[in-house]
Amino acid sequence: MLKIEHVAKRYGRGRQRKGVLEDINLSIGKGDLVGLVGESGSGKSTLARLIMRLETMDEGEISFSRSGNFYDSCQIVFQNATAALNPTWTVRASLLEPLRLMKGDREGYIKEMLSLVSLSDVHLDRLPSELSGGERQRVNLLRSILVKPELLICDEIVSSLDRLIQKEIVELLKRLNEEMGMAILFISHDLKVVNYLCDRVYVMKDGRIVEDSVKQDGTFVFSHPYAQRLFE
Amino acid sequence: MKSNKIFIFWCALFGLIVLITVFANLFSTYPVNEMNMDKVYMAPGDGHILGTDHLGRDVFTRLLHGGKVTLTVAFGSVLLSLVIGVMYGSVSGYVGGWVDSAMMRLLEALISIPSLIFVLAFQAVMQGGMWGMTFIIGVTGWFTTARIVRSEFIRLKEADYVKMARMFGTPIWRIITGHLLRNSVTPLFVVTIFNLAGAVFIEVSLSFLGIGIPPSIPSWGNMLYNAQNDLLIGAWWIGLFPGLLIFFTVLSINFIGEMLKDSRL
Repeated sequence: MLKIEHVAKRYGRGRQRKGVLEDINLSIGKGDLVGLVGESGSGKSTLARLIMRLETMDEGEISFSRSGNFYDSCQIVFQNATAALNPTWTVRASLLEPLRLMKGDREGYIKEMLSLVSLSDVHLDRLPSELSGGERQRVNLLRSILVKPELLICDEIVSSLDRLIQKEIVELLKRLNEEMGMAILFISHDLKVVNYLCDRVYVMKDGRIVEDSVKQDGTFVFSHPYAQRLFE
Repeated sequence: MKSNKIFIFWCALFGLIVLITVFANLFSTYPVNEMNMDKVYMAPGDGHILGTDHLGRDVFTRLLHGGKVTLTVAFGSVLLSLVIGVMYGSVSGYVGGWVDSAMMRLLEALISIPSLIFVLAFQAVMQGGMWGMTFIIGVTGWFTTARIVRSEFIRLKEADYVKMARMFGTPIWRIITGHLLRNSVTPLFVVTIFNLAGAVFIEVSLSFLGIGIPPSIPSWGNMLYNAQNDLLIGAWWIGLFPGLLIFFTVLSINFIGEMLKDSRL
């Protein structure tokens, strides 16, 4: 469904020009649960922005097999739920935004989907500032899945949440994957969560993918020393 | 707590000034242009609470009606400058790139010329009345608003919720009004408050110089202009009361603006 081939991204000009991503190759099939791990600054979020066409790449190719509007098939959930929601809009207004072109009962659809992320009607008239961190992230997540994308990119979405809410969100992602067949690219530096959620994982270091591994018997097996050290 | 009380005091004072000028007809004791040559230069008291002027007109009545004119010019011009400033700043900040650079260089060129020069040039051509003055102050007072809107847009357009809106295919007008402008309301409100004080000051200054509101229409500036000669013969009340009202109006607006600005920071 998503194929990334020899992608490179550089910032700056002249001698200051610095490579952030080099020779990235990655693929995600329908319904896949793929993890992307690496330390801070390894280029994970930059890659997510390139996939979402929020930035342009310098080399390589990213192909997405679905026709039609790209953003109807591919969505992203940002790490900072507070920054991802307009502070002056109620939850209802934020959730109605992606459904602008939807025909039929949009309110009814939202109310139906709210239970999926363990929220209720009372949350609809609240501002983001009136929600807890976990509720904000659930609203953020719900907004992205309302269009029923085939691929959802989760960019460190549980990093700033406590363990209990992390678990709730991860279970929710698992359920979305199973019930809706939604492929998920889960970007994180939390290896425990990736180990639990994903079936396949890519390890990034200094802008390169150093290894990828498929889960076998509940664990990932790595040959690259950096990946081994990371998952120890 | 203390600053809250001070804020309420200045808001109440400004509100009171606006209220008595808006409902000038209710509070005024004489028709605004009624002359009585038997009662010229009467000191405050004896049926004329703030005295009379050189034509025997009631100063209190003219003060209320003059305030209505001055504040109408100020509010009208601020509204006009707000519309122009928001449109100019929105385009510059949202589009960015060379369009932003070109628009900002033009704006800097306009800012470098004192606005009084623009106002005088416009007034020489238009020789406008009350609405003419409103237009002139409005089209020469939007520069700061445009800069504020532009800088807010540049900051906000990189926000995650704006990126999400673009991905959801939200139309540009909706992104500008719903996301960018709506989250720029506080700084925009503060700059508009300061523009209001500036507009009152410009109207008063021009009318005082005799090139503002036509003499037939009472305004605080016109009253001060007429009071110049009256002061020489000892009729202090004709200049003092409009002067005090102008002083307290500009002061209250500035205090409100300053306190709003500080509370934002």
